[in-house]
Amino acid sequence: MNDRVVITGMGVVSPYGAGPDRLWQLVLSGVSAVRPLSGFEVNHLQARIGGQLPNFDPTAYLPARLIRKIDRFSVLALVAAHQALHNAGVLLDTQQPVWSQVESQSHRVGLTVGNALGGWAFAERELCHLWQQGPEEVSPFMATAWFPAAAQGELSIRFGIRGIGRTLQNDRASGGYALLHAAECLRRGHADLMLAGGTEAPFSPYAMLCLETSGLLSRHPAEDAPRAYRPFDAEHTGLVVGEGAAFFVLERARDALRRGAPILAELAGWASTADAYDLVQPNPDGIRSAAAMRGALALAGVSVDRVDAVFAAGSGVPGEDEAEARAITLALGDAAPSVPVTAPHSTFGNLLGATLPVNLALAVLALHHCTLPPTLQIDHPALGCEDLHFVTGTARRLTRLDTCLLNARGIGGMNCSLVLKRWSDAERN
Amino acid sequence: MTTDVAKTDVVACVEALVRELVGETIPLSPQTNLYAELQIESLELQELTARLGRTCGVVLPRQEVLRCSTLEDLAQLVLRLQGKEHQA
Repeated sequence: MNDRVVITGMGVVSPYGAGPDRLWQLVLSGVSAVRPLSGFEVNHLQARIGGQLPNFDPTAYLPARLIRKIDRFSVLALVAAHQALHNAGVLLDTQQPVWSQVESQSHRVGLTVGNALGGWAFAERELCHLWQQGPEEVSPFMATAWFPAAAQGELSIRFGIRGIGRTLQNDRASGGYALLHAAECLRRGHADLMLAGGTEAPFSPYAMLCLETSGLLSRHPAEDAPRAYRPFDAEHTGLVVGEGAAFFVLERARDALRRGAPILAELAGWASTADAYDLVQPNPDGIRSAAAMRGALALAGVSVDRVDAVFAAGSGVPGEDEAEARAITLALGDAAPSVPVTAPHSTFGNLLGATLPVNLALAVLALHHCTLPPTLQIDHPALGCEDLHFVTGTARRLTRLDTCLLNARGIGGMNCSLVLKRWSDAERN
Repeated sequence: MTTDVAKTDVVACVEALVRELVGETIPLSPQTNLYAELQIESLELQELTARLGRTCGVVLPRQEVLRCSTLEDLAQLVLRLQGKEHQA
């Protein structure tokens, strides 16, 4: 009991807009948020689709004075984090957190952020200023806006978080590592409350080019954008990226119960491993990825026959999908063919550093609704993926949905798995 | 803008540049305090200093800028530096 870590608040900004409920409703409705990219130069790109959040007005959430100083990935983080803190009931009427009243309490609040790319839209604009107008036209906020830890700094200042503060950078597993590290900090007693999650805003000419040159992006035709992202399908052609952020308030269960916090679910297990195989390709044997899943299940004390669903990393990159399918089969053994597997980000894109946090939000809601969101576009499972039991087409209502295994995989096989469990008052002891 | 702007012009210039930083809703006067009232932070001060220097044709030494508390202090600093340039 003492060591159990629970989620007491969550916030999301996804390509569908702000809020976890909006994400849930639109994912279940099967409406794809993948669309032709707009708002920046894409003529040099082959990959011209993504989960872009249209018509997002940051001034509805943050002062204009702040917005101009930070990149979009920090904006998304601030909006999602505010939702999470509000949801956890730790904001006063002034919108300041409760620990703003007592300095020493703020020292026991920590923050971990996952991000893969940093703020290239901001950086590219300022590099244009440098080369076209000269150094005097470069914003001094370049010093604090563009790098991946920038969002951590903004969150720390905005919410007066004075304890542990770390940014985890492991490509598409970044947000998973941030959650893992936050849970570990709580279990080790290094903090009393952690704000943890991931954020990503990949849509700029240079950032998209770098993603494209990795060879991992789908070049699916823009006119067929909603059908582009096809994790585990025979016609999978690569990653389709999206923008967004998801943050969670994590606490030890006893602390949450003591303050009467609403407990959304238990983050019961976590583990990470690395393939140490290739800079880009994961090891096709899936062994180290399976080890992350098994490690997370072992920490959670969950046997494979108690896994009710897998939220897969499901990148849509052919070699990665096959390696993950093999890893799931290795990890779950005889149970593998009967455990539903889903990759709901197929409807809105892979949010890179935020992808596992957004899937975690969906998993929390899946437990709540006893319903699994589907993976769109699995018409015929890819070679090597046929033995898994995918949730395709429409959402699936289950009679039992108490435990979810969630995967994230970064480039070259950086593996992270989490176990999410339903929390019930009967489990208090 | 030329380097021989009158004092009122320099004060107006400081106000206009500060206005760009802090937005339209905060009332400004020459006596407005940069820190206590406007919460100007380190990089905003850096940006303000660079813009003010370019607009008024002077280089504002950081240590002297840090001694300024109000908009008028900044305007006085600019005028003093302009005066030095004219003498030189």
